[in-house]
Amino acid sequence: MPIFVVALSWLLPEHELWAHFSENLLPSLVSSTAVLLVGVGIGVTLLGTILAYLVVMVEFPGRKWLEWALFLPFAIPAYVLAFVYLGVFDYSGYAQVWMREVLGLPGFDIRSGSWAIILTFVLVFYPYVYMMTRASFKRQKINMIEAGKLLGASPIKVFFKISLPLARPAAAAGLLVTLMETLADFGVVGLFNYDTFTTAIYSAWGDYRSVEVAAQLASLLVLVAFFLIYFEKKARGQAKYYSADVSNKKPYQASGVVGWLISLFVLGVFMLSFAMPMLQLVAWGWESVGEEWSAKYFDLISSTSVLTVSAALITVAIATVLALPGRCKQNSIWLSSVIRMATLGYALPGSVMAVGLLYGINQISEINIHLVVRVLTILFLDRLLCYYLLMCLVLWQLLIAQLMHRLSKLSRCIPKVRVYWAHHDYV
Amino acid sequence: MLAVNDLSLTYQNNEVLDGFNLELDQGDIFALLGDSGSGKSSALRFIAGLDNANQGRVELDGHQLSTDGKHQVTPESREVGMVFQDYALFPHMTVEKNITFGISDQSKSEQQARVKELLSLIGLKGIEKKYPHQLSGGEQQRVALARALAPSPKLLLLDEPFSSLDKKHRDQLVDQVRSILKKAQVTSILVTHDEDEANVLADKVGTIQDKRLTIK
Repeated sequence: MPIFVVALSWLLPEHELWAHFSENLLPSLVSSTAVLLVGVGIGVTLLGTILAYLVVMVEFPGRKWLEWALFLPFAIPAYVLAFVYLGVFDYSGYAQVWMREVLGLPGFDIRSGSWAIILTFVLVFYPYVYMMTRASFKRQKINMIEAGKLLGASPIKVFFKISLPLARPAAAAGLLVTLMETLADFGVVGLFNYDTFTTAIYSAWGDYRSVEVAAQLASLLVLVAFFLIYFEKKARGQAKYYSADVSNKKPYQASGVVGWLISLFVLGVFMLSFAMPMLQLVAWGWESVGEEWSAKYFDLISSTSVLTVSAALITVAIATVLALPGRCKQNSIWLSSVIRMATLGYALPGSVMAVGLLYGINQISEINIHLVVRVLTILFLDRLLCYYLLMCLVLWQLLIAQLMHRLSKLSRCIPKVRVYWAHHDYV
Repeated sequence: MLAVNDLSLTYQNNEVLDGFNLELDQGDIFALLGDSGSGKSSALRFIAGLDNANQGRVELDGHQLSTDGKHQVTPESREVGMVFQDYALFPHMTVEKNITFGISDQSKSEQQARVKELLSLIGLKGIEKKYPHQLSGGEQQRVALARALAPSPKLLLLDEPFSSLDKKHRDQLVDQVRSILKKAQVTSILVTHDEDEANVLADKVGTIQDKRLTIK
């Protein structure tokens, strides 16, 4: 429905506003969004894949706990990490103050250019690629790597010629989810004042009061999303997967200085993406909790919890129902196409979902055919908005869960429904 | 040519080998028989340099590869080839790419000539561009053998290479592999739990008994 609605929006063109958008804003939006996607894409792929390879294939000091610790950034919403980094590294943040006053270095504007925002996205989204490639590396038979070694291949050659090509579909899947999340993000780009398609959708809707232009922009975003999926499918290609190897032995042992250097690198990523931001949040919280705390926070906590818990429950329920027939051997074509249709929406960024659904309601309330519908809509609009917000959230989570499930099924890794609760910025 | 001395190793916290000695001459095909868990595969992996042992030396062609259960020469530079039970072919590479993986330092024309030579040796011409999953189990096993032979290793290790094939194909393949190994003149060790297979394929057969090797 959201896709249908945003596509339909082209029937109601607002020529002036659209001309304004396409002449003045669209080119820079396209290039800034592209820079962001390319930068984040390269960053998460490199970081996620290298980390996964190290924890799966190499034995180094502290590997066991770091392997799990690297998942923890999932617990930090992207905009929270952005908030912490801006607080620390902004012009008046203590890191820059210290640099200027103690080291005598010139200050810099963390919001200028795109490196800082790209880095923030990379630190918060690398676990997607890490999670997928880690599972893929774990399924690679240790025999294959040993065969490579006995054929004279160095660890670097084994990585580039054997492990990496086999993990490529998994890396592409993680990359796809990352790019979708980046495309859909509003919190981080808002904090960094960085204009993307998503901010333009909100701006068309909020500042220019044009749901139509918002929907038209959203439909372009859908195109980008489908484009990404197409490439991910193509990249998957002919590669074959192998079942799990029982051996826990690591093909490479990194002892001495090399081992500690690897530990230091992995620990560094963990510190930057999780431990330090968390400590900073705790420190800030400690400083301000006395004067800032009031009863309104109970309301905020309870509404956040209600939204999160209900979205999670509905997501798990729907995802389970949709995933169950996939377990049966004989699927009716009818059933499988319905399921495929239901899961197609993982291509939809949350903003498109929101515009599509809300634009739909908006139309109903304006069409004026059914008085009952209209009255009901007006009466319940507030509540409906809440429900629809919830639905956007649910659907989006469902889509991610389904995507993960499909991929896990595809890679034959886990014989039961896998549902991942992915954090989000909507609340 | 190959000398393994005083090998002692532990498998799943049990000492399975103690005072294991083995000497082979150039071109020998040796079969190592034993029940599962008897340490025969572990011995093979130690010789390959993949796993450590409590004690033991390996000398190949006059070069000391391992002493005191530790390896001086890494698996990468031992010039020892290995054929695995599950073939361990690289699924994303064609047969040709699989075979040339270990000889990528040679020129393209040398590589192509070697692939041709090996495919005719294993009796599978014209499959260069196929992927491993497009081949039968027996064909995959022969490609794995060709891949291991490509860099002309000084020693070839075969770890239960026939166990995932059915009886009919296995008998055929055992004969074939023997003639391939004899033609290639490569010193080989076969690990198996099947006595018939050992007798057909090998020149010498040894059994692990009381943590030591008894040669018939």
